[in-house]
Amino acid sequence: MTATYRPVPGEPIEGLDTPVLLLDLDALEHNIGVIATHYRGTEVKLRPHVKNHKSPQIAWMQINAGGTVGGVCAAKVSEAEVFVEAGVPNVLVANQVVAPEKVRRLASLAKRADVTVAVDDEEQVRRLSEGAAALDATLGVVVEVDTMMRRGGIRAVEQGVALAKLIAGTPGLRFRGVMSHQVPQIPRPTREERFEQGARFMGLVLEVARAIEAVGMPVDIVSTGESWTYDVAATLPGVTEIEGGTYIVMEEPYTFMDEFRFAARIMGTVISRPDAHTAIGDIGVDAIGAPNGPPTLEGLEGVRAELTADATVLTSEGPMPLGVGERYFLITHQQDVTMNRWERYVGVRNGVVEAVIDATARGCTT
Amino acid sequence: MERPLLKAPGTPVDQLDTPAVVIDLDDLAHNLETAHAPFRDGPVRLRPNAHAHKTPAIAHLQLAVDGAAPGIAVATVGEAEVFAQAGIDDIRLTQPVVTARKAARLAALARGTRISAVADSDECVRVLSEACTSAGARLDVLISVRTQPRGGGAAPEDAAALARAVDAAPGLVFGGVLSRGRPLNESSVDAAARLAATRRAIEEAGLPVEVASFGDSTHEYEEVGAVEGMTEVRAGGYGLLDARHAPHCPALRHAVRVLATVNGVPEPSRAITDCGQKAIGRDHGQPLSYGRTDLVAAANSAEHGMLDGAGGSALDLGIGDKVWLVPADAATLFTLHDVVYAARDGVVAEVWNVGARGAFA
Repeated sequence: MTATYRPVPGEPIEGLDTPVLLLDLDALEHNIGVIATHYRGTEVKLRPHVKNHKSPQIAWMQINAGGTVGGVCAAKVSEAEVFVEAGVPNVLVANQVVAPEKVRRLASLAKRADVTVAVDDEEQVRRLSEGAAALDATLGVVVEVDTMMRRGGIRAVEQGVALAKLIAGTPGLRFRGVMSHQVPQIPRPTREERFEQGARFMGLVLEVARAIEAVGMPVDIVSTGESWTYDVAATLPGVTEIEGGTYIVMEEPYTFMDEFRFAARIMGTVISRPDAHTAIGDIGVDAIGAPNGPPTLEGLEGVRAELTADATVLTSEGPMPLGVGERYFLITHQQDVTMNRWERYVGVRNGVVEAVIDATARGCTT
Repeated sequence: MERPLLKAPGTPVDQLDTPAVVIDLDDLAHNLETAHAPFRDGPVRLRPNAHAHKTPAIAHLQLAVDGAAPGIAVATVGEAEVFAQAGIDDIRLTQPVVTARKAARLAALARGTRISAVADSDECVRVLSEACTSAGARLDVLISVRTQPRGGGAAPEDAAALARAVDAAPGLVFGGVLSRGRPLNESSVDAAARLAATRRAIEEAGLPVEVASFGDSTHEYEEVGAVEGMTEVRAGGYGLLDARHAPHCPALRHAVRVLATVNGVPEPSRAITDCGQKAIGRDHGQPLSYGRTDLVAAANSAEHGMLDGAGGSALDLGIGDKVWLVPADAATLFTLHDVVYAARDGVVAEVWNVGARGAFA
């Protein structure tokens, strides 16, 4: 790790060394407020996904704002460790954990917090039980259901019922419910398309939940979602929580959810103006990540941004409006990949640094 | 940062906690030996671009192995700071610095390290000169010359005037010319020839030009080195050899691999691993399966990797099995990880810090 550079609160952003990841605190608080307001009094709550921001400070902002389950969702064991250490009492690892050492780390966490993990195979159940027994811990377990991604998750309802029974009868484990993850089937769905798809996908995980209940087992957790179905979930009885993370800083392909605002920007500086239509900026692909194509340049009509290994190539049809030393701002197309590259985010309000927020779980991939 | 379960030297690599980045020291040595060979006896030298790996231990190996590489290239002041602290004493910063604050950092470094920077505008020259004057530092400055439309740099015809401006600026020493890359429809050799011509034009105007450095040329390093008037070739990808450089470099080996674990096999021909975009990167394409042609790898999710049976065939993989992958792009991989393992004969030999990870500024 590196990045010794740490801006001081009170500094205007004009003076910051670039590239730098700026977090618009007004937008961040707005986004948190949308969920908190919508989920005030609903059965369904938010389980904030921390893979999207990697920051205990932001997780606590989410939990304290209300409308959540009072815990978080993590993608990896090492990520979960960071948040339990930061005092989060309840973590769902929305992934399969199978390596013996990792299972023991998880079991160790379960002695300090309410820890739940997802399975889609008997072999995972066996390994979790072994690890929990070795540490005399109890791990919560949910059955993951594939609803459209062809990723992890059971493919048939009866698999879910069989796994639930197995978990309930296995020492060290406690059956908690079911979970699934899904993304929009088409880019930028309309509200009608979004509600239709969301209800259909979440209907599949609810179907598994009902089948398990039908054999006499209680299903406490029906965890599903992402941000794009938070409002859909509130109309579906039986869904207990949404694993939501994209909404927190947002990304360009998600703008169909127009109640949320972009809260993360990479600020760069123009370092070269080789011709009338071209400017070179100091944000390279490593600093932002571009698995889904180039980022969006904010606020400059007719200027296109492309990334190279260590620079941005800005090109314009007309005269290039940016001169050497001027700033530009990129909006990511995949926020969690961007956030994961930065040790810390610079929280900004009204153009002034207000807080430096550590991404304590940055790089936690194990 | 990651809290890895670090394993001691002597541990078999397939027992590492995953995802784990493993560098095969024999393959790395082979790549260094092969790519350095044309430069070993000079006069043209190879300058490894350390932006490609961000790891001081690798930079030290590159410089120590055979004398072909006198120093490294970096892309950011932050990278220069990390490598200088790690004891690398010849560093070339290849992107311009245009703000007073970064120039001050550079000038502070220049007081204790042999560091050179680039300029492609009068503004650049002024900012660097002011910083060096007030820090009492002397900085070598090369003129960045534009040899491709997607890069910065001064127009070749403006280079001589800029060189004179550097030569006359307090605190700065004119150090030569440098360029990056080629147009897509041209060979690196042609682009390098334009840099060499710029060098001659400056010399004809009466200013000696010590260095002509051409970069972003991993797969044509040998040909570029043979261009008349070139003194230095910068290359980054040759040491580790990722998947995207491999088709251009048949003599080199994949020295960097990522170990992943199969977490689930939800369909007979599909396995899910713990190695997604955040562990291996997808900025430059999909990873490759290493050593097994029956698997097709993909990093379509941030946290999960996928392995499909080639041609839809059923997989011979079970939960808990380990697989090896090659990243599409090593620079992306090293932006994601804080530590990497160096191994020989399948056994961990050393654990290295990716010291300049995240040094974007």
